[in-house]
Amino acid sequence: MLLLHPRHIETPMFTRMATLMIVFASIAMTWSQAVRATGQDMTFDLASEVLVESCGDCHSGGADEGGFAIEDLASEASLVTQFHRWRKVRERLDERTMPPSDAEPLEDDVNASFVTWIETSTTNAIIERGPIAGPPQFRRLAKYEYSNTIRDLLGIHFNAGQGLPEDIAGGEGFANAAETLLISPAIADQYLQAAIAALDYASKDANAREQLISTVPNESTTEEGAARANLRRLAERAFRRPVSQQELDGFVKLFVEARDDDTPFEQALLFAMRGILISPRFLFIAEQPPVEPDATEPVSDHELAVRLSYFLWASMPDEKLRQLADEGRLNNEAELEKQVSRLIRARGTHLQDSMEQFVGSWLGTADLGSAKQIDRVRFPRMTDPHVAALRKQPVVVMESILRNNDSLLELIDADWTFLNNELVTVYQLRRNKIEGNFVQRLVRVELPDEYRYRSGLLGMGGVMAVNSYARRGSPILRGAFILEKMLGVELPPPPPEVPALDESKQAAEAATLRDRLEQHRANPACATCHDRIDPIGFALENFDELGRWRDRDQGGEIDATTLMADGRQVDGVQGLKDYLMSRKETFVRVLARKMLGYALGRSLRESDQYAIEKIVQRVKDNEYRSQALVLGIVMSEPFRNKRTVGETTP
Amino acid sequence: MTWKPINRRTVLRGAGVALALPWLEAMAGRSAAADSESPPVRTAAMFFPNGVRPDCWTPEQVGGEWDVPRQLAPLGDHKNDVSVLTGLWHQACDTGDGHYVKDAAWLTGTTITKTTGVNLNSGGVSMDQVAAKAVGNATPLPSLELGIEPVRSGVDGVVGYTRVYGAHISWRTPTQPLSKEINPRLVFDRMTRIATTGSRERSNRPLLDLVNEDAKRLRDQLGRSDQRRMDQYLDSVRSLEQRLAQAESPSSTSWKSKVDFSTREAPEEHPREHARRVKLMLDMMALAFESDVTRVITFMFGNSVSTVNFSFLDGVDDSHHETSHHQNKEEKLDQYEKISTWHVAQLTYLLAKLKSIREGDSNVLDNSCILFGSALRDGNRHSPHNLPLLLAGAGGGKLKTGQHIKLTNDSPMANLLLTMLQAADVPQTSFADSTGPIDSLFA
Repeated sequence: MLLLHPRHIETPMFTRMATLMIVFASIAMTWSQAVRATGQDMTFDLASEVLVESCGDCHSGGADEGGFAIEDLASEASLVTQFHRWRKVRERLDERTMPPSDAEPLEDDVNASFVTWIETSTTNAIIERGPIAGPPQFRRLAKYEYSNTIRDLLGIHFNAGQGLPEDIAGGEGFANAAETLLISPAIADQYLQAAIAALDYASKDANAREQLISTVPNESTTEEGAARANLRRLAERAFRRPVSQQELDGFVKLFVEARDDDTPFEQALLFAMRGILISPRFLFIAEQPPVEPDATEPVSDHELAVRLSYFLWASMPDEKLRQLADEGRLNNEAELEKQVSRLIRARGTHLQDSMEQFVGSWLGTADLGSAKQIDRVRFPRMTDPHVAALRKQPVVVMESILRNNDSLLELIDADWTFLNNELVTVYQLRRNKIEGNFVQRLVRVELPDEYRYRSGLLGMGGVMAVNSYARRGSPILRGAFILEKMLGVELPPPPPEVPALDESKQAAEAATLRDRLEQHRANPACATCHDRIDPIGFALENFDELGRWRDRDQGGEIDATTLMADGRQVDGVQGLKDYLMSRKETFVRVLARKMLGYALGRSLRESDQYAIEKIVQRVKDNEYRSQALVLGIVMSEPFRNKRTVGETTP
Repeated sequence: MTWKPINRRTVLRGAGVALALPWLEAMAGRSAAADSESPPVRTAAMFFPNGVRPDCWTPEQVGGEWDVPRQLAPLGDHKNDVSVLTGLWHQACDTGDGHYVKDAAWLTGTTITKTTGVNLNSGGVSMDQVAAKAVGNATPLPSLELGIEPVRSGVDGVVGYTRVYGAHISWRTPTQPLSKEINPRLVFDRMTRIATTGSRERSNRPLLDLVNEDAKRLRDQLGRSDQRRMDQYLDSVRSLEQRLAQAESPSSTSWKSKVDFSTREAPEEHPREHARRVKLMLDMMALAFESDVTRVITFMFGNSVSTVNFSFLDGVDDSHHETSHHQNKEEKLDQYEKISTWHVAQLTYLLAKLKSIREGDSNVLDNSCILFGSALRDGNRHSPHNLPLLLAGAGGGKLKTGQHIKLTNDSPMANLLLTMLQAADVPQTSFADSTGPIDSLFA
């Protein structure tokens, strides 16, 4: 007989059993009998029965705790249409956080086979449906893209975007998400001022000026002809595609009118160039939508060059990409593979510009020094270079992993990291234990065993600092961070009008004995998340609010051992790394999702799931190497194709 | 009574709005008589996140005589320039998460759409933008949006809302929040540029005409939601074009800055200290009202769930949001109280500054109507009831200040927003879920 949750004991047993019988009348044996008696594989019907028996009390027949009802998963089609729901079920079973502790647990072997079944059958269902492209890109350049693009377009070291409003992240958490790239009423004025300032700067820089005005009037070239040639060169690079005569006419006219008013040749030309820099064709990435409704088309070669370049370089396509696009030679696998490799390996800071955005927003470490300030009263010796090093460390580690095609799992655990003089000081490392002569430049350092805890994302002070309060670390923020950013768990919001929890481990442990159960019954809304969050955070207690190692705090000796919801004991940061390694595929799926969202500059849609599964497969097949992730994204359907979609199309 | 009589001038302005006259024509429509009329009413809303210590904000007595509660103590001599409002809330915000739902809708009184970006929607236009639509065409900038705190990166995965919501209180349309400027220097430069446009330099208007044509062509290729974005860019280009046209026209009815910006000192670029940044931004608010660059301003002391560290205050050692979760522990409540008291002190600084700027027989504060408050009361409980709200300034003589007005519990805050609109001569009879203006506020 089922053991009912006390809070649902009043539900009439009769009604529920009747429902079960109607829906699953064909199944004679119960799932546990079937699985055990025959050793047979899990099937959809058996899985449904597991759900009804183990989850139905709280999640069916009108009871839809947490907004989840198993009726949504009743048909096989739901493996595709309710993919995320199924995956959430898998996640909770895998963690053993469902069924809740006051309900009858699933037997271990059944739980394990159910978890595997959900994993494979949802993946297979998605793969079977096949690839689906997404909408054509339409968005303005993000502020950082604008700055980088003007820098590369005019060849100047001048931050032209500084007067633009800050962009706020949306979608998968990046500032380039089309949905949140707002257009404020003041923006035309801001773009105009930025264009004036940038052209002014360029006209005073000898190299930049020569590049900008390379055609000058002479016996064989009229003034207008020279102006047109210069304007064409700028427009084709600014608009990231070839430009027609007709499109140029407007800009040439601006030049001619200015010249007619006796403006000197150069000034008149620079004036017309302002027009190019405030044109929506420069400020917006606007792909041509497919002509037929619901048709899928490859993106054009020039559009592909733009996608590739803003993804990996956070800036406009370079000469080589432009040339390949002009010749129509970019959109094939061999060439793309070559270009991806080139963009990743190229000298210069372009890859770092992009990873600064990707990593900084993914982990939230971009906030260090701006939205997240280090308390200077408490840490008077933390100067701007120290904070900058904390912010930069995860970026250069990711950059290095990409350049060397290292395993992505080195983000979890490794025997190296990047350090500089400031970080060695912040982390209080003994300099005789690590090799190297440290200056301000971050360099790759092999870590001795005793400092291995400094490797991977968890060893980075910046990661710990952004998940701390001003003067103390926070197990809850850190636990939620790892669940969300590394394991892809979507935690529901704390219910309204509920006070914050006491974060001390003592309080949590006191509660584990008897109080915890009662607290759970009194407010299961808390336990359902904090059973997952808190143990992870406690494993990181050796890191203080700057991410420095500590063996003691005011409360005495630090105890970083913790018990996960599945009963697994985790000991400190190394134990947590091992735990994450045991879930490496989940980690890579999160990373694939985040990076695909960044590469596409939009929220992912349900239809992108195929691409994610394929990317994960590619990474796994390539020993988790980082470039497999990038190539998987670049070769994916939504990256190389576009489809007309309505606002409600999946 | 739900409607204040409006004068002829207001009706004219209202008609201008209805016909969506461009700025230039609206200006030409201002008669010489208008110049001799009383100075314009300025409208501002000043938001701080995370609520207040609930037990020492509300005065005990009601009416014109009340003892100043501890958190309002910095008002000092300016006690009589403000009214305390008790019992207001937004019913539409009694849902969703602890912060974003309330903060984004503070000036709209609506329920926002939960999203990480797609389908961003506040559910309504904010009070300041209703005012800006009505009175904004009399000034170069219809409104100004200011703030202090940069937005944290990423989306707030824990609550599933984009941080756009936590960083915007001004909504021009339900889908167009207005970005705020957080660098006081850029605000100063912008105002200076506006006040001195029309010099010998070659006009940029032909550039804008070309962009306009270009954008229209591009627009035709786009899907509907993308067209909306392109329209917003077109709007932005057009309003700049109109402003330049006005500034470059030699007409005597042209707007002129009431401040000679060359005599004013530009604020420093990037002060690190929070308190310094707030002070400089409040100076910019005062300068904007004084010069008449705009008559509508919103200002955010911090974003939702602000993590600004207030340890610069004696006896405080944590961030605003963290402190607001005080768990009823006295030492945390004490810090929480100090932070809200500091915010009231900043308001007082602005009030003193505005009062010192003479305007005919009165001063800018008397001609202003400034809302100051938060979108939740007790941060520990994220309580949306009985919001902590002050209204400062006499609204050009229309409002009676210095009162503690206690309304029936859970009265619509929209009534207060409606009152502000009417004080600013906006011909509006309802706003969000309003039931009518708050009569006792009127003089």
